[in-house]
Amino acid sequence: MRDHESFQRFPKSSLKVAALRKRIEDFTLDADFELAVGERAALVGRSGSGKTSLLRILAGLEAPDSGTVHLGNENITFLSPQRRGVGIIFQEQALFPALNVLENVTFGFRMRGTQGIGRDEYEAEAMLWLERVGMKKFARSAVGNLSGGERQRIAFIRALIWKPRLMLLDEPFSALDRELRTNLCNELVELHRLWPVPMLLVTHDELDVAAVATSRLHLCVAGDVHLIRRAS
Amino acid sequence: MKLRPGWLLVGIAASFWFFLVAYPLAALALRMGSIGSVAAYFDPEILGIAAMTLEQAVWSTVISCLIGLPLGLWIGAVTSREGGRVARLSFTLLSLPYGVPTVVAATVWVSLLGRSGVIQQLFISLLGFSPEWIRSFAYSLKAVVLAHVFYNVPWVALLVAQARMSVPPVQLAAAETLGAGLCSRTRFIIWPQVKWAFASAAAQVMALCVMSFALVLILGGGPPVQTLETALYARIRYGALDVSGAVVCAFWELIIAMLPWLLILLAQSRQANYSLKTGQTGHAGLSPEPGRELGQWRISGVLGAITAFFFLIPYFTIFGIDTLKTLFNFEVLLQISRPLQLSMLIAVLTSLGAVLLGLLCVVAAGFLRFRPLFSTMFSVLAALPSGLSILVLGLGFWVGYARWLDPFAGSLAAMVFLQIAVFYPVAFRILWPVMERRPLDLLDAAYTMGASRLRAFWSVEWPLWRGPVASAIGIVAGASLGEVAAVSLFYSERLVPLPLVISRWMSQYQFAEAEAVSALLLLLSTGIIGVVSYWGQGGSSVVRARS
Repeated sequence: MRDHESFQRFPKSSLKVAALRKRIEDFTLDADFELAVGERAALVGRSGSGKTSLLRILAGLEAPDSGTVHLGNENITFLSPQRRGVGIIFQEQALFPALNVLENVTFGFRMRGTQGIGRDEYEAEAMLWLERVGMKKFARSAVGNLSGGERQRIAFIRALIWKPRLMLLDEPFSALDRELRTNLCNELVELHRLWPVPMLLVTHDELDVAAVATSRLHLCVAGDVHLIRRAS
Repeated sequence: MKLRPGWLLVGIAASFWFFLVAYPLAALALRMGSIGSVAAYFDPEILGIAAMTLEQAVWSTVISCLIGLPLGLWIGAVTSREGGRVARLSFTLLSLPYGVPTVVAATVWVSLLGRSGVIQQLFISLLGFSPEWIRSFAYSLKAVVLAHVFYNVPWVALLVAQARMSVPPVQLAAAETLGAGLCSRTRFIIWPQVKWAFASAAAQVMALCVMSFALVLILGGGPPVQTLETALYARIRYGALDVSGAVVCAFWELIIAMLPWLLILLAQSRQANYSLKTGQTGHAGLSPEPGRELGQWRISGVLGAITAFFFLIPYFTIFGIDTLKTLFNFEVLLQISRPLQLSMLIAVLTSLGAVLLGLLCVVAAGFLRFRPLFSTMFSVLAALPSGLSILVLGLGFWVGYARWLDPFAGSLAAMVFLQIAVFYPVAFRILWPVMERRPLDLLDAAYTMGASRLRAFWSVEWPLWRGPVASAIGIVAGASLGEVAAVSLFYSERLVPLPLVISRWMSQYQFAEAEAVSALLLLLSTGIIGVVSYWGQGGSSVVRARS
C-alpha cells in the first residue's frame, strides 16, 4: 500500500533521450528515443554494439559527447550518478561483499538520506520486499553465500526499493538457466508494477524480451554509427 | 613396501629444511636453555636495546603506513581504470626499492645527511651555515626512521594498490547510482577489500624494521641507535666474543619479530578467506569513472608514477659524474674485482640453490595438497625462515655447526647455505601459484593425443613454469647480491663480498669509493628486479616474493 501511495506522490517522469552521441572506440553511438511512465522497453543487440555504454550514460557513469537526457522536465545530462535517481542492475549484480543482504538492500536509503523515514522503518520496508521474493530468512546472511538467482533478486530489490525515477537493466539474466530466468522475469515484472517507472532492459535474448518488455528499441548500424531508435 | 616418489620428494625437502632451518634453530634454543641465569635475559642494557628496536620499528611503520595507504589507494584506483603503460610503470617504480640493497640505502642516506653530505652543503650554500638539527640528523634515530620510511612506503603502497585493483569497478558504479559519495564508497566498498592487505603490509614493515641490520648499523652510528640486530652482531663480531649475550639478543628479537608475523598470518588468512568468499581475487578490469574520461585518469596516472618515483630519488643522488670517475678509477676497479666476482658467485649459487629447493618444496607441497593437515604444516614450516632474521638464523648456524664451522676463518659454504635458507621461501611463494593452477585437463588431452609424460610436460606445463622460475632466479639473485647479514657473519680477509667492501669503506670514511661501489651494486640489483617486475605482471612476482 505504501508503495502505491508513494508512487502517487512521486513525480511521474518519462525518459527523453535527444540526439545523444558518444564516440566509443571504432564507432559512434547515436541514440534518440522516449520512454513513457510504466513502459518496459527492451534493447537487443550483439556484444560490443554500445548497449551497455548507453546505460552507463543514462546512469551518469559516463558523459556523452553531445545530446541531452531528460527525466520529465529535468535535464539530467550532466547530473552526477548520486543525484540522478536512476536505478541500475548490472549483469554481475555488483552486490557489496562487505555488507549483508539487508545492508545491501537498504544501501540506497542510507546513502540518499531517508527523507524523514527512520532506520527501523526502512529496514521494515526492506524486509517486506525480501518477503515478497521469499528471501526474508537471508536478511542477515553474507551475500557471498547466496546462489546466482538469489543474488539477482537482491540486486532487483536494491535497485527498486529506494524508488528511482528510471530503471536500467544490463543483461541481468544472462548467467542464469532457463527456468530461473523465467521465474526472475516474472518477479521483475511484479516488482516493477509496484514502482512503474520507465524501464530499459538490455539483453541479447528474445525470450527475455517477450517475458519482460512492453516495447522495444532498435539498434541498427549505419557505417560506423550505431543508431538506437524506437521500433516503429 | 613400494616408496612413492611423492613421499621421497617430501623426505628430501624435509631433510634440507632440517639441515638449513630446524637444526640451527634447535641448537640456538638449546643454547638459550643452557644460559641458566634468568637475570641474563633481563639485563637492563639488552632490554634498553629491545626498547630502542621497538621504538624505531613502530615509528617507521606508522609513518610508512600513513603515507603508503593513500598513495596505494590512489595508484590502485588509477591503475584499475587507466591500466596502461603509465600504470605498469607506477607498479614497477613501487617494486624497485625491494631491489635496493640495504647497505646501498645506508650509504645513500649518509651521503645525503652526513656532515659533508649534499643537504648540509645545500644549507651552507643557501644560509651560510648549517643548522644544528641538520648536523645531528645523520647517525640518529630520526635518520634511521627516515631511511626506513623511504624504503617501506612503496611496499605498503604496492600491496594496497594491488588490493585496490581487485575492487570491481561495477561495485563502485552501483554504489554511485545508489547515492554513495567518495567517502561512503571508500568506507563500504573499498576499505573492506583493502584492509587485510594493508594490515599485512604494516606487519611486514614492522617485522622488517625490527630485523633491519645494515641500515641501522651504518646510519644509526653505533651507540646512538643500537637495535637487537646490531647488538647481536657486535657481540659475535666486534671486540670480546660474547655468544651468550648474542643468544639473549636473538631471544628478544624472536619474541618481538613474532608479533608482527602472527599478525601477517592472520591478515593473509583473512584476506584469502575474503577473496574465497567473494570470488574477488584478481584484477577487476577497466571502467572509466563518471565525469572523468580516460585522459584525466592518464594525467592522474602520470602524477602517481611521479610520486612513486619520488621514493627512489635519494638513491639516484649517488649517480654523479664523480661517482663514475671513482668507479672507473683503475685502483678502485682493482680493489673491487675480487669482491664483485665473489658476490656474483654467491648470487648465482644462492639463486640456483634457493630456486631448486623452492621448486622441490612446491612439488612436495603439491603432492601433500590433498592431505590438508600435512599440507598446512608443510607450508607453514617451509615459510618459517621468512619470519627469521638472517643474523638470528646465522647465529643458529654458528652455534649448531660449530664443530665444522669456524666463522673467523670465513666460509663461502655457510654464506651460501644461510642465504639459501632465507631466500628459498621467496622462490616457493613465486612458484606455488603455478603448482596450484596445473593444467591437468590439458595434460590429459595431450596424453590422449599420444604425448609422452615428458613431451606433455615440455609442451603444456613448462611454458607456465619458465616465467616464474626465471622471475624467482632473478629476484633471489638480486636480493643475494646486496645481502649483508649472512656475509658479515662468515667473512674473512679472503672472503669479502661487495656489500662488505661498501660497509668497510663507509666506516673508514672513504665515502667516494663507497658511493661508487654502491652505485654499481644498485644498478645490478635493481636492474634485475626492475626487469623481472616490468615483465612479470606489474610487480606481482615481487609482491609474491616478499609477502
